[in-house]
Parts: sequence; structure tokens; C-alpha cells
Amino acid sequence: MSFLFALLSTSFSMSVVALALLFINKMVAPKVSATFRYNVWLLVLLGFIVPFRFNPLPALAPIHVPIAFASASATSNVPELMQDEAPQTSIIKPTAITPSEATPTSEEISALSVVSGDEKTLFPRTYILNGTWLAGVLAVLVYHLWSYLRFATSVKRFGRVIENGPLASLLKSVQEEMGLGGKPVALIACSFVSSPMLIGFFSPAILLPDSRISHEELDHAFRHELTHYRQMDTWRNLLTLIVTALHWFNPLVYLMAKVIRTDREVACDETVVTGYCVENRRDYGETIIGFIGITRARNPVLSTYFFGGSRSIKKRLVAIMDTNRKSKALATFSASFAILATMLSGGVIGIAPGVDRYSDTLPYIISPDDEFWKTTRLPAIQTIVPSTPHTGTEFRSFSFPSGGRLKISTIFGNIKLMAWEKDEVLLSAGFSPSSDGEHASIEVKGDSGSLELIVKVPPLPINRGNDNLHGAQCNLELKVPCNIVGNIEAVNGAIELHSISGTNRLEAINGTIALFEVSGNINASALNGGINGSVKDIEKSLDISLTNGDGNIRLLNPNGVFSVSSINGSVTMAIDPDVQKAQSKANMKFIAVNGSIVIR
Amino acid sequence: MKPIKRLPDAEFEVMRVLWLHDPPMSTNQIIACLRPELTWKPQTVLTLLARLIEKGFLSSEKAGKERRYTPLVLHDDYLRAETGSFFDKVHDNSVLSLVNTLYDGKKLTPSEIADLRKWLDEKGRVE
Repeated sequence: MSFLFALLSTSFSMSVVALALLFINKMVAPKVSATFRYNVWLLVLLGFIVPFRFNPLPALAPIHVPIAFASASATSNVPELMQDEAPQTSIIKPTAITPSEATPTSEEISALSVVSGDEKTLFPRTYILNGTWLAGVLAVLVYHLWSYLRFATSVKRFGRVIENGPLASLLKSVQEEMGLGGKPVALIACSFVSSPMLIGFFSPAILLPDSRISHEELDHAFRHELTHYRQMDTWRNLLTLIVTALHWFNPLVYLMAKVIRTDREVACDETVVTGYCVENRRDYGETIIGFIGITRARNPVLSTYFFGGSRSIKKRLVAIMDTNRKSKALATFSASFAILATMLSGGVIGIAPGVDRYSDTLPYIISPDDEFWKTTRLPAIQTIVPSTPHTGTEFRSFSFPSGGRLKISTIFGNIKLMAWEKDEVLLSAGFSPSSDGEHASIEVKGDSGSLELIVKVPPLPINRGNDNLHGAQCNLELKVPCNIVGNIEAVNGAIELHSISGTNRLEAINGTIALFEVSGNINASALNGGINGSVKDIEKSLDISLTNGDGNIRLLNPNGVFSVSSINGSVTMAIDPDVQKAQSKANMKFIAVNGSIVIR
Repeated sequence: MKPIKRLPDAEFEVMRVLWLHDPPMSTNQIIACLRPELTWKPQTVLTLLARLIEKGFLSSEKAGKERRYTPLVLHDDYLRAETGSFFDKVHDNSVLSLVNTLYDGKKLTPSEIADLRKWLDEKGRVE
């Protein structure tokens, strides 16, 4: 389901890259070899096709959709908590606090409920969107394939293969001179083409018009077309076509295709005339102009169809006559820009495929209300694996009741839970492979009242002298109903909870636990990691146990039984100054070994 | 006169025979002149001929026991129709021509071509 989203974000971010490259190329054009520019485009084209790439950074310039996730406003941050007023050590005195009206989200809740009401109609819309996209892709591909086949048929019907004679031997000698001797390039006379051209993929053919062509013009034409052949330009055209088809909705892609076409020709000319003196270059240019003249004469009807004056042909001629040396530094600059931008485009620009920020409004999420989804999903066991060999994010949605049991366990990866107003769990799993290239997988089990997500990891990579040794990682981000019975375990990873209530057992080994306005009952234990954050409205108990780590917890509305034990670490419990005057009762029990406990 | 429609491959093969040889031709003559790799049954060829008559590509007359066929559409007219103006538009993306007819050729007026030629000439002389 996330495919269309990934495609859209790729389309968008790569458009930005392409635009920037267009601009850079415009600045450096005469100084950088066209072949080089043409090759850089190859990379950009690949960037358009491969929708997922590694995403090392959170989006630097995220594009926020109007309705943000509710927890965005509910985060309290830890540093602020540290620099609170001077610590005043005190042993628990039950403070008089009125139940604070900490309900900041009524507005947001209404906003969310609007969305969830809307979402009932979303599933069909997914089909419509995907279907429209696919129809467009097929239309572009079929149209081009059809025209190509039609053209090829006509060549077969009316073309006359030239096997012997002066033309064939000239082609042979040019081929040999270019180091392409023995390659199967056919020569076909075609009365209906107006300029020499190359056609075909595996066994290409050069088509020649039946007009009178001088020996010199033929030599130029053969060199030009054989250079296309050597550069594998028919294949690269196919690549451009695939990009155009996949991104048919993106106007920039058409502009890019046009620029690539011009760059391709300039690059080809450039290669042909390398080493030519000025006179030879001029002759080559005259050959091109000559064929344009023929083209025009043959198609008088269409001659006024397009606006007059072609920049691309002038560009070609200018480039042909340009004998200046090309700058390697500028070339390297534009290439490294393209490489970096393409690689990072997933993370740096725009819509990074982190679903948490956008899923509320984007229409492609499967609604669990849908019958199809309900009947096929549970109680089947499924395994989630990334769809790409590289770093990738997978999205799943499960129906899950408020108060349901949720068990999550990871090895090498963080867990983040955020509350939302739906009876649904939305999972976004970010996979990155081990240094051996292997991926973790998530085993999903569940029924109507529970869900279990167990991350399985491949064996740790064997050290083969590789310094950068690391295991397969899987970071889980989930949106869950506010009220859950959770059992969350992370080994070598952090746990983060936002606005969750219910009864939750949290265990982190080699990772921190962060709580943001968590309520209900909490039993959190961290080994070699700290526990930070804020809790409110503890229903019965808050149990915290720390080993080799520090605690820093803000109490927004201290109620219930608090029990804190710490070994080799210090714990700070701070009652939020805003609610101190409110009324509250809390029993607190502290045990500290080799550490301190501070209450303020 | 009917507009000339593009022929499917099989019908084109039959027309090719008639264009290459001396019409009118009988069915048997046509079959004999088909390219050797086409091993069609006489019935198939008769069907194709009937279709071509229907499309206005052929006329037929009875001569004794058999029918003889004469093309009504000339080779060159058909060629022009099949590879007409629409053609250049279509193939610009899939072939690599020395001058791209759509993007280069048709955008230029004769005076612009003359200007380019002049520019090239001067450039070649100055340097």
C-alpha cells in the first residue's frame, strides 16, 4: 500500500533534484562535457525508478499536512526538565492538588474524529488512485511500444537491406575504425525516413533515406549513429521511457526527457568530433543542417505546426564548433551533486516515507473497517519482510480494540508507540540490513483482542575483517489506541511511549525508555539505559527499576503508588510546577543502591 | 475514393506480390509468388484476397475457370499512407536519428536554416 506513496515522494524529491541539476547544467553547460552531463542524467533516471533508498536522516524539510498527529503537541522534552528550579531534596509529602484539567487535545480529538469518519471511504479511493496510475503507465508504454512496432514493421515492409556495395563497405570501414568491427549493424535503405537513424536493441540497424547523400555526409552519419550504438543509447532511451511511464503525472519528467534528448545528441556529436579540426567540425555541422533541410522539404505540412526556432539544434552546432577544453572540476561538482542528492532525496527533501506524520490524511491506508481486510488478516500468522534488498519501510494496519493486548519485542531496534483515536494499530517498520546484507523479519500473530509483533533477526554477521560490522536492524513505530495492555521489550534499542494509557510493562536492555504523558499503570525497567519523560494520572502503580542508568521523570499529576528502585544510577522525580497546587495523593517507595534519588 | 488504411501483415504480403509482379494475377500465381517461408493454404489466401477486395485494394474479374486480381492501390500511394506525416511524430522517441525530425527539423524555417549555415561558415573561417 505504501508503494504509491513511495512513488509520489520519489517523484517529488527527484523532481527537485532534476530541477537543481537542470539549473546547474545551465550554469556550467559549455564548460562541462556533454557526455558527462548525459551520464549524470543516467543516475537521475535510476533515482526515479528505484523508489526506496536509504533514509539516514529525518526529513530536513518535511512537508506537513494540515492535521498533524495529536502527540506532536503532547511531547514534553527532557532537557527542559533538567534545568528546573534549584533542587530541594525532600521526602514525599502528599501534596494537595486538584485534579488538573490537562486535556489539551479536545480540539485535536475532534479533528481526528473528522478524519476517521472520512476514512471509511478511503479504501476504494486507494483502488482508484492505484488504478489511475497503472492505467497511465500502461497507456504511455503501450503507445510507445505500438508506435515503435509500427515503425519497425514499416521498415521491414519497405526497407531494402544493403548487404554489399560501396555503402556497406564504407559502414564496415567506419565500424572498424571505431573499434566496432564485427558488430552486427545492418544497413537498410528506407524511402520514408528523412535522415539517417539507428533503430533496434540487440541487432541494430542504420536506416538511410533515399535522398542523394555524399560520401562525406555518409561518413558523418555513420559515425554519429555508431556512436549512439556504442553509448547504448537505444537502451538509455528505453530507460527514459520507463521513467516517463512511471511518472506520467509529473510534468517535470517530460521536460527532463526533452533535455536528456538534447544532451544525448550533443554528447554524441561531441564524441564524434573529438580530435576534429575546425574545418572538419564545420563540415559535420553542415551535414546536420543538410539533413534538416531534407526533413523540412519532405514535411511541409507540419512545418508550421511548432513554434519557429529550435534552440536544441543551435546548441548542437555551438557545441560542435566548441574546441575548448572541458573542466573536470565542474563536472565532478555537478556529478557529486547529483549522486548525493539522489541518494539522500528520500531523507532530505520533502516527504520522507515516515508514515506517522502523514497517514492521517493520506488516503492510501487500508481501513481496517474494510471487510476484505478483516476476513483475510486474522487470525492468520504473517511475516513482514522488507520489499527491497536495501533499507526500506513497510506499513501495515491491523484492527485492534481499545484495551487489547499488545506484545512487541525487538532485537536491534527501537520501539515507538503513539496513541490515536482509532481502534487500529498502524505499524511502520523501518528495516536496515546487517553488514551481510540480511534483513530482520517481523512475525505477526493475533486475534480479535491481541496482537503480537516479534522481530526475528538473522544470525549476527561473521567478522571477516570488516570493521563496519552490524546486525540487521528493525525500528518499529506504531500508532495504537490510547488504552492498551502492553508488553514491550527492546534489546539494544530504545522504547518511546506517547500519550498511552492502560497497563504497560516496558523492558529495555541497552536502551533508554522515554515516556511522554503516559498514564495508567506502568512497569518500566531499563538495564544499561535511563528512563526519562513525564507521567500523569497513574491509575494504580508506577514501578520503575533502573540498573546502570539514570532516571528523570516529571510527574504531571502524581497519584497512585510509586515504586522506584535504582542500582548505580540517580533518579530525579519532579512534580510539575503547574499542577503543584492541585490536589493529589501519591504513595512513593524508593530504593537506591549506589545512587541518589531526588524529589522536587 | 476510400482513405487508404494500414494493412495487417498477412494482407500486406499478398499486396506485395501483386505490386512486385505483373498483374492481373490468378490465385495460383499469387500463391506461387509468395515468400517461401509463408506456407499458407489456398483457402487462407482466398480469404485474404476477399478482404482486400472489400477494403478497396483489389479488383477481380473472372477469366475462364479462375479469378484474376488487379491492385487498385499503387505501391507508392500505400507507402505514403502508411508512413505519413503522423509517422515522424511517433518514432522520434524510439529511434536515434541524425536530426530529430520533431525536435529539430520542423521547428526551423528555411531562413533560420540559412542563418545557421551562415553562422557555421563564419565560425569555421574565423578560427
